[in-house]
Amino acid sequence: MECSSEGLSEQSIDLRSRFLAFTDHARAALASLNEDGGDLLGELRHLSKSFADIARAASTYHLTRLLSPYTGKCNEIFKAVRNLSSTRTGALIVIQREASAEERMTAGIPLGAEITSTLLESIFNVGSPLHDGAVLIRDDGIVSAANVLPLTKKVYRTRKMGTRHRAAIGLSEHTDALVFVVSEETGTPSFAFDGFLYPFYFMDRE
Amino acid sequence: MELNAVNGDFASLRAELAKMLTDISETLNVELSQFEPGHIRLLNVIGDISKKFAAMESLTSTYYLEGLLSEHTASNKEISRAVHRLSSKGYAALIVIEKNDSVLPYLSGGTPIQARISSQLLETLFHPASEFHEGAVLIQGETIVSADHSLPLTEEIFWDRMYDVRELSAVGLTERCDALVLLVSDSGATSVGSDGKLIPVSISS
Repeated sequence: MECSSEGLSEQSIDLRSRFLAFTDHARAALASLNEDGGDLLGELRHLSKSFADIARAASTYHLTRLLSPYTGKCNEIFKAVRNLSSTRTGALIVIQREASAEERMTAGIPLGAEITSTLLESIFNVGSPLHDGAVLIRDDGIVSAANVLPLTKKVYRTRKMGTRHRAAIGLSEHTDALVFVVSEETGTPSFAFDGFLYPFYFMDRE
Repeated sequence: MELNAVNGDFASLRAELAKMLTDISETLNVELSQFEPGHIRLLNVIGDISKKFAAMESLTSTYYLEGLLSEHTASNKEISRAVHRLSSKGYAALIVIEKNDSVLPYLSGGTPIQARISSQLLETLFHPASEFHEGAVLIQGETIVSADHSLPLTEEIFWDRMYDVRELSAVGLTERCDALVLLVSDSGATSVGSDGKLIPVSISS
């Protein structure tokens, strides 16, 4: 899949029709639940897989919409987040959009490197001198690493919110940047935008 | 072995699943009625629904697992809890539960444990830093008899994909006796080996 804004409106129409098809699917499953026999677990597995496909499509649609005008390397970034998630490595990646993100954070180590998923993964390896803090991406380059972000002061009653997630939300409250965050505890990937946290469902392959 | 042949009151499971699925459908209908391409909030709705699916999976597989185990041991809830926790942490595990046939003739290695069954002890034995985590644990009745066993591998050839040693062991042992083998893979997928067959009991695999 190319990282470009082309075909985005088609994607959103496609998303809606896939949701509609899924509700039909769920209705059929519900009907068969009320009958005896049948492979309950298999049915559930099928339903949950097809929902996961839609989740991935929706997630990719929104991220491409938000990022493709600002960087041509979203696929490389998605790949890094996916790999960091599967190894349960904590990570924080800021992608600057319109507003300068540097003004809102405490500067770390300047890099000026090209974006590759391997470099991003290496930076967040526990034990790397750069792993503690956020990576800043602007256009097609990694500007710096080990940056410190402002924390959100919001109170979350329903879920535990660690420092890394608070930092991601905090920066997104002050700028229009999009911030990827991978939980160190569970490996769950998400992203913060405009002061809110959203789940990130990645494609199996790009 | 058919999972659906497990004893138990399926009506209550079905009713509960139906209720959860109805909730999901209602949420989706509300979302679809106000669908806007720019509404990123949709991702949070999707996140909540995904969690509900995970809960449905967990409910169903717990139901199956406890039903299967209840024929072998009264500690079925404790063992099923351990399997779920190991699976969610992505810690691989291999647990042999003896039925009528003696399994000892087929096992090699092993360190005596002789402890009461608790999910905490099972999780400890399979923690990646544990000395025993690569072997199989043997359960007889209400006792964790021993750990760190090697099982006989099956000689069957599987063409569909690569089977790892744990899977080959689970098939190998259950070809030879009527024991039940619980298997958690590194990816967190859980399955049950019985009668020379592996049956997945989790949705994510």
